[in-house]
Amino acid sequence: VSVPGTIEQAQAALASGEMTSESLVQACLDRIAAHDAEVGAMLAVDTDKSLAAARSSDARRRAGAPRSLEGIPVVVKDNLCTAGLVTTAGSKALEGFVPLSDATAVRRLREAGAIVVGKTNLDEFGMGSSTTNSAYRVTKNPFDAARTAGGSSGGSAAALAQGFTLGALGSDTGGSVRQPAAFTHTVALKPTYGRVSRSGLIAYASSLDVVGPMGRTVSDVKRLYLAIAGHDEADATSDQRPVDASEPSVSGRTIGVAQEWLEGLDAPIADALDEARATLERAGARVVEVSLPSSGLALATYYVIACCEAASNLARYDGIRYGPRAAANTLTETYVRTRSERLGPEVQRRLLLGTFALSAGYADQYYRRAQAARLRIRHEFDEALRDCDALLGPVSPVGPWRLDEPTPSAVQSYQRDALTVPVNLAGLPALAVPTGFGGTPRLPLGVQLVGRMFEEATLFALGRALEVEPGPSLYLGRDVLTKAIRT
Amino acid sequence: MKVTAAQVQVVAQMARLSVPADRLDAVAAELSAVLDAFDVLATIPLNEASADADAQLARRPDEVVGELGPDQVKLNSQHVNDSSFVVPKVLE
Repeated sequence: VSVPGTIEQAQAALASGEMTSESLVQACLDRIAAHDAEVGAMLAVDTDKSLAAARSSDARRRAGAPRSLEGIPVVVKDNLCTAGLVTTAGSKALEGFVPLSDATAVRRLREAGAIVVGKTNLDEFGMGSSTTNSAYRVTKNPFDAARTAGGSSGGSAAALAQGFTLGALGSDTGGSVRQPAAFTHTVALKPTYGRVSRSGLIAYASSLDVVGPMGRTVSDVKRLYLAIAGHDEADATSDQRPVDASEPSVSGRTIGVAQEWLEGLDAPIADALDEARATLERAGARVVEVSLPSSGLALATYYVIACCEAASNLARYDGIRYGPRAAANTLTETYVRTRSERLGPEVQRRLLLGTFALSAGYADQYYRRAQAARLRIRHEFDEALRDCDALLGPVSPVGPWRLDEPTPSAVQSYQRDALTVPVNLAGLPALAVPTGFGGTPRLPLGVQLVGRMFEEATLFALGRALEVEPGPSLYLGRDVLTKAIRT
Repeated sequence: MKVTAAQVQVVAQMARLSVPADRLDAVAAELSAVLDAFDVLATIPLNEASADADAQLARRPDEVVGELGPDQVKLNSQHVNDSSFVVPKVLE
């Protein structure tokens, strides 16, 4: 049995009896065994439990009671808690941590019939955009192993692109599902803040973090989204509005393109955006220019707020309640040694920045001004989306970079996030959609659609209009796929 | 914003981190470069900062939901006794 291309195809094969969930999960496990040493997508594989769950799923199907994701294998970013399965957030500070319960999003996937095959690699606590800041391994791009898969949900994206799974969960604090999706020809949704519960998501920056579904097609991502979205009492910021599962029309929609997002793009990315714009126009949408004048403030605003929140959230990793502890003679020395030994360099840098920005004498200069800038950015999005149904823009100003490039400075590295972080500051939904391959060498390209609060349904409709026709070979797995795009 | 090695030491202490002496200048330079990039925020007047923006996010009272029992809380610690986490002596 080979891994089908999409959840839709797998559901048809399962319904017809062409395959069982057990054979499907086994096929995913076989691909992981064959290819993960090269790709580095996985941090844990739950072989026995996933096969047992698949057998139960097959029994349920035979009993005539399949659920919406019955028997579908998924992988989960390792900053989402999974009951009984080690969850590290890519950090040595959580080495060996076994959660007592599932994150709400994971629990809802299981309740919908999905089977968690394993946990995926990430930049430590989600801090990075290359999945090279993991304490455990580097994730490589399935389309070119010399390049990054993006991050911080690079493990989930690479697992999808490599055919290890049919669906995935990631998290997006500043672009962490959208950018790796654009780098691996996969689809990812950053839901509206409050739409998907954060309960059980290991916190990085609580006012920005969201759990996002990832898949190979827009329809698959919508299926996953509908399974995990909705109110959850365990998350104080969870919204109570009903989830919209409608299929709105694309024709007659107005799409804005922010001029501030077009500066400094790599040529293939600019071309992909032009093509996406033309595709939406052909589908009956009207594309207009809009302005987001404070876009230049977004990066600084994001990093101040994210680092300040991280400085608070990560204070708990002191060796007392979780993870290994450094030997020390005093309590303070225990904290300091454990944190210094167990937290990675990028995490420590952000904690120092956040602590500095919150310290007496600097909180006004940085934190309070960043909060004010955040409100200004939100209002500008509201203004732009008053006349537009959605905004269209690039995901990243650059494509997947080579892993052997000289290490950029922190500022250069942060600048790569300039086009994704504004959406998190505004709390809006955004969908990253692949648009094909381009550049030299030919690499995946993608764009993002940004919607009004809680209007994910509009984004799915627009995303389907943009989606590249896969053709017969696109979803046959990376080996065939890579050959297809190179020839 | 120029951060000094002495400031790095103070901030590291607050963050409960240790920066080796031979790294203090390099870390100070890294932080200075990032804070320089943050200076764009100086264009925002402080009086534009309204009540905490995060306050808009909360949609239910901040109350404990589903407490864990002591035995569950201790499960992921490597240093526990029957009733507590075990830590180095705080008072002599």
